Amino acid sequence: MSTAAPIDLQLEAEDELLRVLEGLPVATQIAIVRSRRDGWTYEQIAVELGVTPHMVKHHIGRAISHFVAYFRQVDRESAEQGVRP
Amino acid sequence: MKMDQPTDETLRAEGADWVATLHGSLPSSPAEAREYEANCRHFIDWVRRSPDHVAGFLYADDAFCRLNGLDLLSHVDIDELRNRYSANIQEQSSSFSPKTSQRPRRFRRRTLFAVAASILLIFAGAISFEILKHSHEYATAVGEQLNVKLPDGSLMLLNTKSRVWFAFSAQQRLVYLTQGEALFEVEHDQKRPFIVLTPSARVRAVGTRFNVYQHPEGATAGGNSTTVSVLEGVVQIASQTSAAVNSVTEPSVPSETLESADTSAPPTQAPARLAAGEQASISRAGVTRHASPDVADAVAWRDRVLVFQGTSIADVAAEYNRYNTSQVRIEDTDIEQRQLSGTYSADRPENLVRYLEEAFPVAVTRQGNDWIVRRR
Repeated sequence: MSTAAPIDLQLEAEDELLRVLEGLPVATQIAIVRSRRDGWTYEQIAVELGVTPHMVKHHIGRAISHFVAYFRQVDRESAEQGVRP
Repeated sequence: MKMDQPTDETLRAEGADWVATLHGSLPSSPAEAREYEANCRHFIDWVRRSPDHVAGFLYADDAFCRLNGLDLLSHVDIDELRNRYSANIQEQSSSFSPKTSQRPRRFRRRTLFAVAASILLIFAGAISFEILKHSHEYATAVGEQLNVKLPDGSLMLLNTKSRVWFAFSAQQRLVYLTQGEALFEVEHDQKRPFIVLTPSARVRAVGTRFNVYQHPEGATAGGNSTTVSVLEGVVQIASQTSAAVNSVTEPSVPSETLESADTSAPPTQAPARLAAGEQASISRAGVTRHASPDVADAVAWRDRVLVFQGTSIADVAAEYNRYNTSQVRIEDTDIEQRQLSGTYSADRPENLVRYLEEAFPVAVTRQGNDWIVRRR
């Protein structure tokens, strides 16, 4: 009811997301953060990680798959509670 | 459930892999373009297998977009991750044999999605059912021309021996000209830029009329480069190199970056604006403006007419050969270097042969359907 509620929710979601991220191998974490947050290309990420762009693609795919599982669970829970994420 | 039904987890992983694959950079060479096209076809085959596959893809695409849009990753401490990563690597190389770790890495760098990706095929999830509905390929045979009305109402006239693949989404209209030449009459849509990619160039328009010609590899004139001629409006052009990739997706480029109209100037890597009546060549090296172009000549092919102005006989023959299965082969370097001006019918290579017979001391022999022109 208070005006602060959406911000709290946001912080909570961020916190949870970070915990979900930590469930991934470190290289996979770096790859998805560089790609989604920093807008880096696979080539650029490949240089940072010292792997091939093809490997970066694998990391990204793995991260996406991990987050799909999480988001689906979140969506199911919020549908039960009648709350939009 | 049937035994051969893929599990939920498999579909989730495969869907995620496809999103990761399609998110990679666009191809920047003909070889990559072929691989890319094959990939797109594989994807469409995969996604059509069942509604579950479609769902698997859309869930992955959705997750990908949510990571992007919500900015939830802003608090990740990337330096801490990097330290942990390099510590891991060191630990691994010291716990395993340190000598083998010094051996050079042997794996080949796969260049499928090499070069920076800023024009994304999926631009924050643009890929969806839309792309499946509106993803098509058109190709023309030698001498054939094809008029296509694109899903957004834009018109595309495809010239001889050409190939395009296009994918339209809510965010952008993407056309990949892998071979040959096309004239575009773009329907105005401020929200969805119209982007034409070739192996060497990127052209971005909103609503305009322009011609794009990808010169074949190894051609004497402009080999492996793209010539863009603008008839109406303005387009932005950039080379297919990582340095210039970002610029084409940006809304505008200041005109101060323009190269002066001088063909002797070296190619510039900066993206350029090209207005009506202007023409430029774009290669991997950059953009070169043409000094005093005649853009009407550049689209004379619509009327199946070839216009030459001081063009070498070698290029004239190559031009005829684009339109005709009967090829004119000139086996004399001196004659090849002579120049020719005038307007000719693209469908009549015999006229060129007749001209050569009259103007030069040559002997013409037939080999199958082809003409071989040699000095007498």
